[in-house]
This record gives sequence, C-alpha cells and structure tokens, in this order.
Amino acid sequence: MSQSVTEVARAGRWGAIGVLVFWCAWEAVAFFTGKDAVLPGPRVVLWEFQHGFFGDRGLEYLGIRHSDYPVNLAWTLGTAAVAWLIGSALGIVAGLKAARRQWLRDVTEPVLFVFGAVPVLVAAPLFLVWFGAGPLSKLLLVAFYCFVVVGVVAQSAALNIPPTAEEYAATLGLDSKARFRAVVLPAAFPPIVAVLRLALATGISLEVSAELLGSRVGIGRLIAVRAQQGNVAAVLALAITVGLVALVLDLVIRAATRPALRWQG
Amino acid sequence: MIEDVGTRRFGVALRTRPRNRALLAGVLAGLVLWQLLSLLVGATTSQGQNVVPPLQQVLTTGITGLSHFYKGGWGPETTLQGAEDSVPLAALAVLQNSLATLVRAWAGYLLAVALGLPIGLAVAAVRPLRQAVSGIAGLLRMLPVLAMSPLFALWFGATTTASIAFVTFGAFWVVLLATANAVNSLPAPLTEYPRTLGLTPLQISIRIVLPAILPALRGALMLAAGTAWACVLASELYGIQSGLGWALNQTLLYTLVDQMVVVAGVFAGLSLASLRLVNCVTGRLTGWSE
Amino acid sequence: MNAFEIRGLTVQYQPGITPLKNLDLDVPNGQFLCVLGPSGQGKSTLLRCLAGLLVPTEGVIRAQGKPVEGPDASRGMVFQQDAIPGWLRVRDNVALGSRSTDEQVAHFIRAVGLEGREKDWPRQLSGGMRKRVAIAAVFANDPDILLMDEPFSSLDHLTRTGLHETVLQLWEETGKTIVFVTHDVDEAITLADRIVIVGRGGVRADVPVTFPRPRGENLRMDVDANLLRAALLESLK
Repeated sequence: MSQSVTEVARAGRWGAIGVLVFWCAWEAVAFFTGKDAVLPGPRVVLWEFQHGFFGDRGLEYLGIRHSDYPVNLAWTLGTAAVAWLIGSALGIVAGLKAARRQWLRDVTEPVLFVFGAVPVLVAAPLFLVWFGAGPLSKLLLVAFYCFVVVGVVAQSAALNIPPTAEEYAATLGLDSKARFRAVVLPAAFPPIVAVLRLALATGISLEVSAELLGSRVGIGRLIAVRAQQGNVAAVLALAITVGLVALVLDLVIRAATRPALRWQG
Repeated sequence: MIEDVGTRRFGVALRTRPRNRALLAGVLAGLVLWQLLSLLVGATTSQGQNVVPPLQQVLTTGITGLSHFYKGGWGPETTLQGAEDSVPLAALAVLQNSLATLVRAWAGYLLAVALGLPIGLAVAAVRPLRQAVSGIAGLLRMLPVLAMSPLFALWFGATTTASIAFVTFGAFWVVLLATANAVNSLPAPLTEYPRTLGLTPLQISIRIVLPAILPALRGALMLAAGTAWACVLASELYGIQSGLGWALNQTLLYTLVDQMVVVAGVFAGLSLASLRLVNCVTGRLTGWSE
Repeated sequence: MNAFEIRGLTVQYQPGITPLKNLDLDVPNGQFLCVLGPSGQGKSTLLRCLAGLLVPTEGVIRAQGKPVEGPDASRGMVFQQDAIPGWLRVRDNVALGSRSTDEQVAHFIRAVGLEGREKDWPRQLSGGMRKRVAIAAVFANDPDILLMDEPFSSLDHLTRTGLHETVLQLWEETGKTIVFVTHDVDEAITLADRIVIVGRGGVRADVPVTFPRPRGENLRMDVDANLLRAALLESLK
C-alpha cells in the first residue's frame, strides 16, 4: 500500500518536472525565435490572457458583443457539458443493451459502425444549416459524438464480460434485471469511466471547432477572430484556458468515480 | 465457433453479433428517412428543397455541381475558364480534392507513428522520463486540439505542410503515450529471458518489445488514425484552399446542401476505408496473439 | 424423491459434435456424487444442463420432480474459473444470492474460514480463498443441490486438501446433494459416495464408494482404495 503511494507521489513529481521543463523549453525557443508574432513565449501568452480576460474593446468594434473570457467559457463549456451528459447517458444505455439484445444491436450497428470510424466533425456543416448558428446545432453535434464514442465502448465492455460471471449470478437466483444491476453494470464501469473522460475532452474540442465554423458567441468564435488578426498569443491563451478548465472537469470526474473503482486496486 | 444453444434460449450471458444484413438495412432505412424528410420539409417550408434536398437532386446537381471544385492542371478546362458542369468534371474535382486530403491524412499519420513509436520506446526505458512525458501529455490531451488548426495555418501558411504538421501534432501524442504505457505493462520475464540469451538492448527493443506491445497498441493506432482524419478535416475546413474539407466549407458558405452531402459522403468513405486498412494491417501484424 | 432424474439426455452442438447421447442417471437426495471423465467428454456439458444454463437437444431433466427450465436459486453452482464479481467485498459477495439471509451469510463466512476478511476485495485474496467465497455464497443461498465444475483444478495440492475438508464439513452439516465434476481420480475417491464415469456420450461406469469417513491421507495406504483407483484409471483410458 505505502509502496504504491510513494510510487504515485514519484510519478506526480516527475510529471510536474516534465511540465516545468516543457514550460522552460517553450520560453527558450520563443526567446531565440525572437518574434512574438510567430511564436510567443509563455509570458506573452499570459499577458494576453490577463488583458483579454475581461473583454477587449478592439473585438467589440468588430461586432462581438461579449468578448470577455467568462461569458464565452461558460457558453462553450456549458453547451459541451450538457451535450456530453445527454449523449453519454444515451450511449451507455444503448451500448450495454445492444450487447444483449440483437434487435437493438441491429438498430445501433449502422450508426456506431460508420461514426465509430468517421470523424463526426464532417456532419458539422449539415448541423449548422439545419439547426442554425445558435447553441442547438453544436449541442446536437457534440451529443451525437458522445453517444457514438461512449456507445461503442459500452457495447464492447458488455460483450467482454466473462460469461461465467453472469452464469454464476444466474445460478444464485438473480433474474436478468438483477444480473444487469449486479454484474453487467459494475463490470463495464471502468472502461466506461475511461471513455467518459475521453469523450469530455474531445467533445469540448469538437464544440470549439464547430464554433469556428459558425457561431455568434463562444471561445471558438474568439479563436476564429484572433486567428484572422494573426494574433497567435491570443489564440494560444484561449486554447490553453479551455484546456485548463477541461482539466479541472476531468479531475472532478476522476474524484467522483474513484470510490466506485477502488475494487480494482 | 460452437454455438451455445441453451445459453441463447435461456438468455443467460447472451452476446449479440454484428450482422451485415442489419448494416445494409440501416443504410437503406437512412436513405428512405432522408427522402421522407425532404418531402415533409419541402411541403411545409418554402426553402425546403435547399435544406433537405431530395435524393434525386443530391444524385444529379449535387454531383455535377462539384465541377467548380476542379482547379485545373489536369487537362480539361475548369468552370472558371468556361467549362460546363458535368459528371466527368465533377469526378475530376472529387479525385483532385480526395488526393489532397488522402496525402495529408496519411502523411501526417505515418509521420506521427514514425515519430511516436521510437520516442515512446525510448521514453519508456527511463521511468522518470516516462512520468515526465505523461505529465506533459496529460495537460496537452485536454487542449481543444481540433480548434487549434488556425495556428498551424498562421505558422506554415495555408499549405499542405501546415495540414500535415497539424495532423502529426494531433496523432503523435496518442501513439507516444500508448507506446510508453504498453511497454510499461509488459511482464518482466519477457525482456529478462532474451537478455539471458545475450541480445543487446537495441535488439531486444526491435525484436522482442516492439512485437510484444503491438496487440496492446492496436487500439491506439486506430484511435490515432481516427484523430488524423478529424485533424485533416479541421485543418481543411479553416484556411486551406484545397481538399475535401475546403470543398465542404465552400458548400456551407453558399448553403449548397446537395453538394455538401456528396462531399461529406466521399470524405466519410475515405476515412472509413483508411481505418479499415489500418485495422487490417495491424490485425495481420498481431495475428500471433489471437 | 430423487434430486435428479435424467432421461435420454442428448446434447448436440452441431452435426458430429455430440458430447452427450441418450444419458440416463438418477441422483438420490443427500448424495455426494462425483462425475469423473477425461477432458472434453461431456462432464461440464452435463453439469451445465443440470444447472439449466444449457438446454439439451433432447431428453428430460427433473430436479426434485420438477423439470429444469433455466437456472434458479435451487441449484447453486461453483465454477472452474474465478467467477465471483471483483467489485463486491467478501461479505457482499457471499450475500449476492437472491435467497441469502444475513444470518446464513455470517454463518458460512465463518464456516469457510473467512472471518475477519469480510471487508476485503477479492483481489486481496488468494485463489483458494476466492474459491471459499464462492462456496460460502452458494451455501448461504440455501440451494437444494450444489453443482461443482472442477472447482479446485487450478489450485495446488495443499490448498485443495483444505478445501476438500471444508466442502465435506459443509456437506455433512447441511445434508445437501452435491454433484462434483472432476478429472482427478484421487479427488473423486476422497469425496464421493458414488462415482459415475461419463465418456463417449453416456455413463460408462457407476461405482459406489463406501470407505469410512473421514478418509484423508490414510486412503493412500488402503488396498481396496488402490484397487478402486486402478480400476477407475483403467476405465478412463
């Protein structure tokens, strides 16, 4: 027990050192490049973050009503989080059930087969035309993406449960509903948590990139405008901010699911 | 495989299977639904034909309209030079832009694997280094990668190089992390045994470790290929002036849904085929483990 | 009444693969029956049919007079593989069955010697102790009949001997019918009231075993036991 605790601490320490080295290397490369417009160092990005956080007059002249970080972050991550919740919940149910009911498998298979391999981003233009430039088009897109990714993993997790685990429960008198609760759900839980974390990170990425294509509000919209201005530092500041908030959300998921994963050691 | 008749009838630990029939039926059902939807939307709204074009429109103007994505240089005149929309010209347009996209996706993907595998093997050999790299990757993983494609257009211009660099950037971390983790979870005797046979560390890396981690790496290689295709699409959607992603962006700009559907279909087909290919090749390479 | 009445049991997976063919067998209540046979000759198939996990192609199985129609709590099974769920602590694992009561659970945890380990996860236990969890869970569920499918084949000799003692103790205490599948002749002689050899689809030998209990190591010196062992080994060939 104490062995693994020191091991975790050591991994954490080296992880922190890695991030620090990365930071310094970035600063050094930026220093020798010498052009903030091409490769801004961390300090320039930080400066850009501080000055853009509560909004930018320049952007407001360009017709962006809300240019501050908090509103746009809340918009982007809020939409992505709601989409993630809806899509993942549907994906878990559909995936697990499809592993046990052939008719449901037949219904979900075409969708999971195609979009398990094809980037969902390809559907973004169609969603924009159909559901407008508001939040609904992105919400549906990200929810659909999460449904597919989580559905594929939940299904294969339920298919990979050793049959004896369920047979054992059956000989102890558990009916199929009780077996689902006592065996299928907990056995598939660890891979589902892993894919939920993946789906959140990539779902946010998809949300932001769909906002690049067409949106009135959101971090993606700001990134698009800043990229048009050629402001690398501002694009980096926006992307890193989204990444940090996503990281916090990821930590929350990990903390929330940890008790249910302790049996794995 | 022996079919467990009883298991099926009693419904204990039942396992479903993918069925090609269902796949085909699903695609047909999708087409029928689309047609019904287009009839419904067409009947209830004035712009319905443009929002959900009926299949006959997708298969006619949706295809010939693609002619203006042909940029010339391959013999026939372009639409800008006065050529009429036609099926052959549309085929040329699709071919030209598909090639551009294919080259970018595959070059970026192969580059990511070529860099990620050896660096992953090297990183895995030194534990502090592996932990340090995991720390960095843990942060980078959370960045909205797809939305960072404009950066590469700023750095490399709106060129194929920018697209390839972006695809490599997206897929590299997946391969690197998976390689390092796979090596880390190999059982110790696997490398101790060849060491007792007198193999050098480099020989062990190439002849023992690399094949041993391939089964565990297979999923990551597929994930990286999927990431590569998402990245190439993102980079072409914003900024680059050729490729299927560019064509898709143009159809969005002018709301040409019939052409949009055809371009999206071609892109989907190519990425699906590419992932099947990766699946097939990695399956061959790891055949010994199944 | 018999615990099992098996008539004309036939299982055919596909043409040419027929592990059981027209098998008849009666198992009286309270008996400790060992089913012996070479690997891949239908022992496990027979047990899966008795449990209700497998529907026979032909034939009838009656348990306590009622036809078997799917698995239920009246016939508990201990599997060859590790089948206990890893996400339930020892106590919750033993209490998994639909008929188990708190009293029974506590009693059988004590009876298999897992007292003090109630809060452990299965991964913290040895292979033998995980088998003890499975055995306690089945007994705590109070089935009429216990089915055991080579439960100890993956364990070392000492661990197995300890588990034999536990199973015999519980059998004598509860008086339940046990059908125990094994390919190990010594294990069968140590445990059984009666040994049935299954091979080529049917019952090839049916031998009562009457050595006084407890049997243990002294059977190794016994002339009759050695004769029986030789005869069983001969008919297994």
